[in-house]
Amino acid sequence: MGVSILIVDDSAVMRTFIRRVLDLSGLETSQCLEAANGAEALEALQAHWVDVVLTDINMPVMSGEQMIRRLQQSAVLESLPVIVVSTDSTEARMRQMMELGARGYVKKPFQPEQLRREIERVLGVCDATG
Amino acid sequence: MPPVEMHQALDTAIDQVLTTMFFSDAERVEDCGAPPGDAVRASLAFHGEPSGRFYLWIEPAAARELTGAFLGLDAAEVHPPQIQETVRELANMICGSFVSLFETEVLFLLDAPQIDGFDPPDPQRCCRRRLRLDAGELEIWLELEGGQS
Repeated sequence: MGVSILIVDDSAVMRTFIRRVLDLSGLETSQCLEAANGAEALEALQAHWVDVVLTDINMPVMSGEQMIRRLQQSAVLESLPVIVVSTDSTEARMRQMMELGARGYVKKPFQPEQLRREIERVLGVCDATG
Repeated sequence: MPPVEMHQALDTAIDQVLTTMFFSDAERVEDCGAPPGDAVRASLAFHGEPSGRFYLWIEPAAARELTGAFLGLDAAEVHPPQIQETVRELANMICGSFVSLFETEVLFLLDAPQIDGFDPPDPQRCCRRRLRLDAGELEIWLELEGGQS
């Protein structure tokens, strides 16, 4: 049974790239939903449960930061793991997002296996092949 | 910021983004003549420490090729809106990677990249890199506030 993922990024080509990278990484996925901003993501989560959310930070309408704050305010969604995927890899930003409630962080640019390892780490999944 | 350090950081950012996200290699070229009239151009400002402006132009065939590589499509299959969006992402990632290499305790902000014509900045105030990809050339200009280029 694969991982169900919600990809949140205002760039359609970046969402396509992440889907492609997930395929290339060999991670088994059961579904990949997409949202163009935090507000669309929250709306999608009203109708679909996912195992993990991959989110950019800077997005129009609702940013990744605002989305994480809203998730943390929900008794149902606060436990949903969120991994930030961003070009910003400064210590200050990573600390800020983790303190808000993100469970993981992947810096762009990234190798497919980096994204897969972070998803597996956050979900507590062990790769049987090491 | 020492110019050598800035040049090295820009080179590292460009190499990481092109090879990791676009599965492409590039060769540095020294000729810095004017960009072709039909080049796809992107620019964005970044705010933090450092602050400045990032400019990029890329020949259309090279932009198409990179877009195909990014999306896992044949270059002939990509559409102009995908090319523009990919060039915006290219600019965003190289600029963001460059700024992140000067990691500080200060949060930085990247403006959304704009696809449009721009007046070339003063070359004396910029760090410039021109590269040859398989299908054409790409050039990046980086202008820091305070003119420390």
